[in-house]
Amino acid sequence: MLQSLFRARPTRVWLLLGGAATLIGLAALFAAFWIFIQAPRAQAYAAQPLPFEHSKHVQAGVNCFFCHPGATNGPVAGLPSLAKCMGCHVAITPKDAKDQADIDKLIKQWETGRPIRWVKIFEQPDFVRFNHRPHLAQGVACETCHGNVAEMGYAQVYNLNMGFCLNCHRAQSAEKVTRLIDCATCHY
Amino acid sequence: MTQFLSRRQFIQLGGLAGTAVAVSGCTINLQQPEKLEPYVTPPEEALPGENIWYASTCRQCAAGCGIIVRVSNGRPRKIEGNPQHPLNRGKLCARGQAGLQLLYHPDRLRNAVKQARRGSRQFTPLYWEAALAQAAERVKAARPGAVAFYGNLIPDNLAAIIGPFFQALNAPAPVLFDVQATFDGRRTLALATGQLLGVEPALPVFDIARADVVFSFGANFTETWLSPVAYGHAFAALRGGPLGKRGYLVQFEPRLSATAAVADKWIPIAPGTEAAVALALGKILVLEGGGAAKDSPFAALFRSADIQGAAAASGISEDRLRELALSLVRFARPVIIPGGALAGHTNAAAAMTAVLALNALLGQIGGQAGAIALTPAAADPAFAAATPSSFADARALIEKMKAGAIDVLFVHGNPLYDLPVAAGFAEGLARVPFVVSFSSLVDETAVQADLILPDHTYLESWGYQVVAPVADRPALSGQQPVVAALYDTRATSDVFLDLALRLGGAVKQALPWPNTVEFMKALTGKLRGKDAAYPVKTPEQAWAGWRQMGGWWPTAEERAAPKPPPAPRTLDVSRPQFAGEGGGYPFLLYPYGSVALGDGRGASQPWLQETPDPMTTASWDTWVEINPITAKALGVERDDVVKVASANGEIEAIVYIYPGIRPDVVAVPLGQGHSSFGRYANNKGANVLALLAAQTNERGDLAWAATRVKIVPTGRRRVLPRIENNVGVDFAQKNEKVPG
Repeated sequence: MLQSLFRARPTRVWLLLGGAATLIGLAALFAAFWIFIQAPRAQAYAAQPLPFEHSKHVQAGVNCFFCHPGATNGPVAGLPSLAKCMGCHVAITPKDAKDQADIDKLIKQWETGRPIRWVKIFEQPDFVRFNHRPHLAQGVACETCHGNVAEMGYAQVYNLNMGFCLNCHRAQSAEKVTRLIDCATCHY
Repeated sequence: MTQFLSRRQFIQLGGLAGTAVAVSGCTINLQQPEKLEPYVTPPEEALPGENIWYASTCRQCAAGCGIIVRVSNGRPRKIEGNPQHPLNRGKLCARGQAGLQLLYHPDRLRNAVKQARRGSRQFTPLYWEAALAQAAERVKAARPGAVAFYGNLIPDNLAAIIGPFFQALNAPAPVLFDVQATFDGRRTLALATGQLLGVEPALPVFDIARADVVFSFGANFTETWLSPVAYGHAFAALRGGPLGKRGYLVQFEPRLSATAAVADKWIPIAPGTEAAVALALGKILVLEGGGAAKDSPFAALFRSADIQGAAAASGISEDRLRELALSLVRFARPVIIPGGALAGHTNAAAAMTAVLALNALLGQIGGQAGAIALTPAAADPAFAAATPSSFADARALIEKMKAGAIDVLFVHGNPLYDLPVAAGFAEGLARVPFVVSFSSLVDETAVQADLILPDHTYLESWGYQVVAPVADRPALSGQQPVVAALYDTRATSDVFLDLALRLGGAVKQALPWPNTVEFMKALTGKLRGKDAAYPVKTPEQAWAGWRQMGGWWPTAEERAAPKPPPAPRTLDVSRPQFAGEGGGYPFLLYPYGSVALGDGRGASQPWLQETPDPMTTASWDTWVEINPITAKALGVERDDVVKVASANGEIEAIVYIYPGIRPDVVAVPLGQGHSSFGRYANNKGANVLALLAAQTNERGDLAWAATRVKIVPTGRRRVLPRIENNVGVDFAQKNEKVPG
């Protein structure tokens, strides 16, 4: 098959045809990428195992560090253990039937004794050494990077890339800037 | 036909295809979002993203190296050596690193089980309460003295618990037969040292770090012998002496082991002639060495030696012997090591005594300056250590089993794999009405058990190890769980403490602790901090320091210097006996411990399976090392599958043409040939232990290097997985190089 294609006298027409076919192939590849990879990924981020909503918790007056105490004294903020969820939820009276159903799911999970497998939203590559503690020590608010959590469901995906970090690092006072824009501050 | 596609078009099309790949590669990120699993109930001290390090003890072999395990989010991730530990000083071998794979092994038993019919593999899960009640009932119903324990070198804390347990039951003392210890010659060496120095049997410490010349008679101290990590460290010191002094190593061994390969001289000595050679070296020293040797009280022992005879038997010429012997007097601190390879012969004790006496002749035993010291006494006598039993002890138990005198047998180890088939353990086991195994993987012996009470792995359990073989101070290595038990398993020491409670009476009195933690607290409470590496004034301090540091040891080196021993007049050296002599078995079998798999215990871990053997670079299979000349005579080539047959059995192995072995010897590594030991070990290679004759040396230990075999080609080929090419070996074969 391929032989017969190329055995004919190779002309510019054939080459053009080949180029067009490649372009169509590429387009198909992109389409396939969106359909089979990117769309399911977006869906996967949305598909959390429990219908958790940040907004309800923040509006109820729960401080960020109550559930994520690691942020103030360690590299990772951490997610609350099931035991911590249950610490409040054994006593909380749900607002309505939907709330009741959602909390029942949590209680059911607690009874299985197995951890919840949350989908990770904020991710840094392995070559970045991010640490929450110095940021909080300098008074950076959670919302600066994570957005207005008080109005979010689970969480929104932000593009926390290097430009995002540097925008802020560059804006610091002169004596800090040299250190803060040094590569080795985050990549070591 | 020649004009398919011009060169230009080919390049154009290639460019297009390349661009297409590059463009699509830029955008596609196939990575799916990660999952986060917060704790259900978090440990109090855990901080997300921060590691916790626990100091504990490695149990991949019996040496007792200190380890530090990095635990992240409740899961052990990495094992490293404990830099404070006096034995391994921060170093750790490949086996120690691979310990995580025992913990996470997918085929681990997850709860206690009973087996409907032995060998059926029909396991029914049992609650621990029911399993322990059943075991206790069987022990109660057994005739007096008809309960027995068979194990390998179990953790010292377990030995300290089962010792009193079986004593209180008036049952026979536990039998701890260990292949690794047998290949190291632990027991024979300890007995020979005790006898020569007139002390309790104890392993000597060979101070090779401060030596300037080391003669090693088959001591594979950089591979498997006693503690390769500690000796490897000492070997580095030997090589990098102060002021550019570089110590000298001579290795006497029939096979070029990795230790022989790093030696300055490798002497391929005829197996079993080591005693004669040691005596001949001594005689040359006495006659021609002058000075200390001539006037030594030990001189009399060597005067009757036969130099000519030794040269003829060992294949080392008289001139060479003279050269070697006289080189010893040129050095201030010579050390001559009686290694494990001596233990494999029927004249092992005589050979070890002769080699130790050679040290005495050179004035290296006695006094703080001596290059040989004794392992210091334990920090507190309460910390008992497991001592290996002889092969004769194991056989005595097997005879009892065969006679139907054992009602309940507890097995912590894998005798159906470890023991030569000729020992008859399988027949004995069939006559025991109730067999309990503690194996965490269903091994060959557990398949033949009625009840399996899976032990924790060492990363999940409490314990201690008396650092015996090479320590320069009385060190205790502490073991603590670095992770909560992954499954519903139970530490065997806890099982025996629980059984003691159930049995009551004398047994309960002997073992009053409710669990191993209380037992460990009681023991560490006795430690005092005179010279300890951390302050100990109260039992609580001892317990805290023990867990923080990973054990107990003095800060300074403490060497128990033996008194200069009374010199024996004579030494009976019998001719080595080889099973199958004159029976059409032309080759002597030299089995050796695998650096990665040890005596077979490492075979369950894929990292170790994949670790190439240092000399052949082979892995995943069993091979037989044959000298090129021998191979030519046999008409076999590399990667041929041959039968290695002794009078006791036969195995199949792949031929590896190895110039580094005597033509009259064939070598096979230990470790493979498991039929039931988890998915990574099963049905790979063959078990060389099956070939061994049930012969013993003068001290009742297995003479594991005294079996003759024949090689029978099968006509089949199987390529041995290895990472080296064969250029060097082929060259040697073509040029008919003979070692030595």
